Amino acid sequence: MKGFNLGQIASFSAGLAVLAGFQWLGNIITEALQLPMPGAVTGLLLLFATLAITGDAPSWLAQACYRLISLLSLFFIPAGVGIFFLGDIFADNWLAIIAAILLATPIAIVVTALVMQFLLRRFAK
Amino acid sequence: MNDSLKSFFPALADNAGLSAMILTGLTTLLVCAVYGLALKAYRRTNHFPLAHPLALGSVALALLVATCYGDYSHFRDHSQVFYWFLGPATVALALPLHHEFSRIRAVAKPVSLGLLAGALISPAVALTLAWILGGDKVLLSLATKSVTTPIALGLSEKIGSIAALAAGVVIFTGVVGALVAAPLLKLAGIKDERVLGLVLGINAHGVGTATAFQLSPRCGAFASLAMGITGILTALVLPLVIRLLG
Repeated sequence: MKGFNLGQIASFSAGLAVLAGFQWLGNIITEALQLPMPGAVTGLLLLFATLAITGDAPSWLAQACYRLISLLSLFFIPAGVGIFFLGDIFADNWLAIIAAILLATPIAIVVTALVMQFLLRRFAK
Repeated sequence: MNDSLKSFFPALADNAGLSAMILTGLTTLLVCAVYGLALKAYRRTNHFPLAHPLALGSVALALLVATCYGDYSHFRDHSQVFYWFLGPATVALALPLHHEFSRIRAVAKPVSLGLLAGALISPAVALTLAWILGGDKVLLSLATKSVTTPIALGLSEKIGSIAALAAGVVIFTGVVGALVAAPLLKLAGIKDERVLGLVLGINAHGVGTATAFQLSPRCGAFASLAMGITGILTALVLPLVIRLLG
């Protein structure tokens, strides 16, 4: 966050506005078509399709995107705090929750890695 | 407003609107400060996954919330600013996706098949284990565990899981995944850094992707691609699966 000047703030705000616009559009489409996914994901797909057609994003938009993504952890911390205040839900299901995190993650990693390696070799020939 | 805070700011206690605004401002500053310190620690420890700002920051903030706010709901009500940014940040993921997509066109077929498989495998393993261990009521909140955080939160609203649980599970899954992926693949004799990147992105989302970028730019590129696509696939498929299962 070094060297913030007015121009940067303006171009970041413009990028943020475009992204918020895509999310808004995504929300409307999701509502109208009763799509199963969150509106923001519809917005993501819309922006992706737009980029596929136009070729590339202008640099101010790209910069705003990467800055937002680099700050994802910051935006998410307040929600993450919630897991420590679950009370009964955690007390009743702690074994399942811990197992899903500590056991299922390594198992899923090994299985996906083997599948992925098999596929990459199979299609390389 | 919390009683302990009222005693700190007695002059504000009478004016609910103003004090709420100030409390929101203070909460925002507090979250930013905790994040800044956690980020510093993460860089100091050479990007060790346990010190990732998401993990370290949420633990540190939880301690602060428990002592200063007393109740999580007070804190949640005053930290809404951050939730607002999650939407645009999700949309922003389209950009790296677009960039990586054109770069790895040569292996598009096996990679997309593998991502589809991976997006199904990681929730399936977690749900099976949790179900065996009797966690029926929390299954929905575990289903999004490997998905990048903003998409997981959006999904949790959509499928009616417990947002606070889903968010926490996502974070710690990411940390565990980032810690164990490289050693596990070494044990399994897999040396392909493309595989490692993809696996980190599928199973450990943002935390894994950050770890992948530490290993090599190529590994990171595959990880961010995997993270984005897994998130989208899960967002598309999971609500349908849940609707089918009733």
